[in-house]
Amino acid sequence: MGVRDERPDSELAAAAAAGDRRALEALLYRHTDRIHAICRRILANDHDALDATQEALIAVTRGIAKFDGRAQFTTWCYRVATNAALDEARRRSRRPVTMEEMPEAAHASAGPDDIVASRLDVDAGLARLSPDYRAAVALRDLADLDYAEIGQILGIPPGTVRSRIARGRAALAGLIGNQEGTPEHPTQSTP
Amino acid sequence: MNDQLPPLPADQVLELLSAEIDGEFDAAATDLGLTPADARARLDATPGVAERRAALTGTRTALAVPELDEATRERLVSTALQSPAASDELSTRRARRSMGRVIGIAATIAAVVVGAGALAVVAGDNDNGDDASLTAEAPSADEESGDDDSEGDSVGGDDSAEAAEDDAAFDSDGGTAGAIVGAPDPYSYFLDFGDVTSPDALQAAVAGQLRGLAAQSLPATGEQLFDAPTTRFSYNAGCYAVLVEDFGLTPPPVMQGPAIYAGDSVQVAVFAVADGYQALVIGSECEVLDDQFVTPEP
Repeated sequence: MGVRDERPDSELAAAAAAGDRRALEALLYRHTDRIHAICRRILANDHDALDATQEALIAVTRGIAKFDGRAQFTTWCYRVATNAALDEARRRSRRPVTMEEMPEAAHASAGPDDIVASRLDVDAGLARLSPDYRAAVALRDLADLDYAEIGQILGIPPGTVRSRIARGRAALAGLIGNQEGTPEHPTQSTP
Repeated sequence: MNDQLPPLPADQVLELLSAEIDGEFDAAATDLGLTPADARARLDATPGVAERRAALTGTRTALAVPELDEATRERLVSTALQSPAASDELSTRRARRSMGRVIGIAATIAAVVVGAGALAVVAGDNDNGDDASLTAEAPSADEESGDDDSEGDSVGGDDSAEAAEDDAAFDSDGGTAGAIVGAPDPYSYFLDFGDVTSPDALQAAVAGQLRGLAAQSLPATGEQLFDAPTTRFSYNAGCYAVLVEDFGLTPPPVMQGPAIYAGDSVQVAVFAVADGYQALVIGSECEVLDDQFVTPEP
């Protein structure tokens, strides 16, 4: 069972930065699911998401001593997770993609298991977006970061964040049947 | 009043509705050159807005990712927490290896200068192998010496002298670029290395696999057993990330696969380095159980 600690992130992060291993462990436990969710949605693949999550947790562990508390721990932590996922996406783009890794097409939702089908639909929808778009959506809808924070993490202006999120959501809505039509070429750069 | 307002273009509707979900409506309206009130009014005048709003709101729910099971979470966290220790250990070993190399070079130079016949003969006969054996022996020879070179090393922090030493010895860029003739392409072959409990066994297993690969006309990239399912343990990526950084290696390994070390299941990963191969025996906790420099056969 993981370490539970009721202290806020800021206190745990400060303690962890000072070398408190239990505080670090509690922080990691607290944020592993969120980190994984971000990685999972950016990568749209279970295996790659676990790899990226592991990379991110290691990076947090190794970098916590340098965390100075000027930013919120979550912003820093999710930046690490996003970078890990985007790195993994880049690595994946340079290697052959196996059949298992390919997102299923939307018609896979005709299968009997609705939960699985729904997951496949989401993955298929996300697969139509570039990882940068997925990252913007994931950081907003899974990490609850505001546009300014997302812009800091992705290195883009808030207006571009807004546009990417909107197009990402529209693509997803279109594919999972929540909306008629799909957006225009969401994998292209935002004007 | 709304009847007099023209509907908004579809892309603006999308941006405004999405921003509205996120509480960023006013900023979005301003960026689009509208006052928030105008934007609201024109949005309301656009047909189908309620449905679109509901559809976009629904994606948030669809994006939710199930929580990890406790065992997976535990494994991810414990692996991460072990990484600094693994890294320190690797730094120590790296420093020891560097020291061994320095001693070896110094000994060779001394032998040549003084003209000590026996040493000179050994050095002359075994040019590449000499370096390899020194590299291989250094860690175990130093293990009793209480070498504390890496104390205080921050994880992932490259320490000056030893990093420089290692960069010279394991210069990944130059090493790979100046690759050994006949070296496999930089894609992982997935192979069984058998029992690698002793350094000699590891050397022999790796050399044997290299011979086997060299004997084949190397298959095209697409045919290589890259990322075989059994290499997809989630600890691998993080583990390799630490290892390649601390050993100054360039991923991916040219070969990797299961092996047995002292009766335990382990992994062997073999990386191309400047003048040969670096083979690592990696335990289930990402600890390096043995590392051997393997000289390619001519």
